Amino acid sequence: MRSRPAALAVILLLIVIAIAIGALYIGVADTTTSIIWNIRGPRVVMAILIGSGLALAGVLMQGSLSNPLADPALVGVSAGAALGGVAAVSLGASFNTAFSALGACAGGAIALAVVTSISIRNRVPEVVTLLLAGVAVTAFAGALLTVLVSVSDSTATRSVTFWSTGSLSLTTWAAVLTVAPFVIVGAGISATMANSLDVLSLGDRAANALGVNVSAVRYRALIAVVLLVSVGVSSVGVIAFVGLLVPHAVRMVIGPRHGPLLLISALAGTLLILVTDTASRVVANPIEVPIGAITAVVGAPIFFILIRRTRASQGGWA
Amino acid sequence: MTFPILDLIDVSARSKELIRLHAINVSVQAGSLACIIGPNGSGKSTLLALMAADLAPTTGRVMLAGQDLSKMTLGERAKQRAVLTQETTVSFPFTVRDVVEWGRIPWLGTTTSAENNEIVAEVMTQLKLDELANRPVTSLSGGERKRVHIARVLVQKAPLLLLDEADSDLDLIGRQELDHLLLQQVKSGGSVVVVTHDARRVGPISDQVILMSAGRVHTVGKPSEVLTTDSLSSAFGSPLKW
Repeated sequence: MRSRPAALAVILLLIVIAIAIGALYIGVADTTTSIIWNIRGPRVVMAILIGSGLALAGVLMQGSLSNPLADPALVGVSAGAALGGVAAVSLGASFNTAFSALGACAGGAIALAVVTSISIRNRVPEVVTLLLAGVAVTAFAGALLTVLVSVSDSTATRSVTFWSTGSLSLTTWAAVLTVAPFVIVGAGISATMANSLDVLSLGDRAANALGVNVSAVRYRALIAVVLLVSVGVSSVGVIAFVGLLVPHAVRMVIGPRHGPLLLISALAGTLLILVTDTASRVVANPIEVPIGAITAVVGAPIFFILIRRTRASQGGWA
Repeated sequence: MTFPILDLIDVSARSKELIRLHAINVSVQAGSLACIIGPNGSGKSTLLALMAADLAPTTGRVMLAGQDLSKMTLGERAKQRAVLTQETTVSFPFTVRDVVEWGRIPWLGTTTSAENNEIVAEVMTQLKLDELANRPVTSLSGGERKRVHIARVLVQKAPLLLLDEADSDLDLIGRQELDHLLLQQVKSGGSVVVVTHDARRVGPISDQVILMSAGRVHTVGKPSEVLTTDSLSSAFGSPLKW
């Protein structure tokens, strides 16, 4: 049994490589070297960064907040990051620059700080409060973003639809190089915290009694979430439900231990975004279906199931 | 020759969520069983939280094995005392064995995995968890889950156990076995502090009873001194026959 996660990781990695290569060649346009290298190449690498980043962020949020329903988009981090990125651009920065990346991180961090500080009461992170706070933060950030996009030059700030449903179609190598360092550092941080996240499942007081510095673990996890999600969002928009679905699916297969869970989720998230992005550009060709729409169509019904299950396991919410 | 494992000296505590405590002076001897009793809202759990360093005293000092608890690191505390909280929910479906094994975390790097496994196996057998070892802890009944957490606390091998209502959720046999385990612990030199509502069961087997009332220690002493109709009625604010 113990070899199963390792074997699964290898299999997933091979599938990711196969699909990534496939994604370079699938499509109606001529598969010239220029299209493969300049258009599909960065898109495939971005899919890997976005998919692994969102899935890892989901694992970290769920584990550090003891909340099986946490997802970067559902709790408002993505909306905050999108707003931060657009705000930086409307202040004169260009997309996929250090300035827009920092704007996105600031937006994501503020959103996350607001929702977590509201949802942790008496040292107990509350499942439902986090989601409700996420609704409010998403609505607020979305409204400000709409205002900014409306009053700015629309080619500079992109459309509201782009921000709400996401697309990898504008990805360039410059975008990849902007997003990659943040996702790599975030993934590096998450790799160090598997054991502490396991123990956090006991609740704050019991974990503390075992010598785990709960606040430090939580801060570190949430900083990693901001790095994993924000800059990606400022580059490709908000793609919801990936951070929710992937960790749950993976947990059902390999169990809840965070070591294997983080590794396999990163691979599975990559796979999910690679497949949905490739689907988004081929199913209705020449029109692109927004990738966030595809993940939401799949994700929202499963979210209902997870709500029911979580509510049952918690003995109901008043 | 006994010495205090735990000393609360003129402690008061204020916290938004917990009951306020005033002028607490309590000493728990090494190798003894102390039980904290009192009406709901009298500050029993708050007192245990102070002992566990979950709550810092506003004034006064809490000494654990001769050291100021507030000056010890989390890791040092975890080697000296184990804590069972009332909360037994585990957020994700870890197996029973996983959860029990976490009790060894304070000792990582100081004991071998063979030693850890031996300790875990022994305690799991003691608490009759062998058959449940690979079950997800989220699928267990309240009583089973409580046994898992008691096992986790025992596996920690701390000289002081602080147990908040360890007996709730347990059936009559479970409580009897728990008492047996605690007395064994004390016999082998360990110290145990339990918060309980079952004074009639735990009181008489304790070395010391701490009777709380309205955030103060009402009476503290040997069971025969504290468990009287007079002091209980006065602490509970209502006639109570012992």
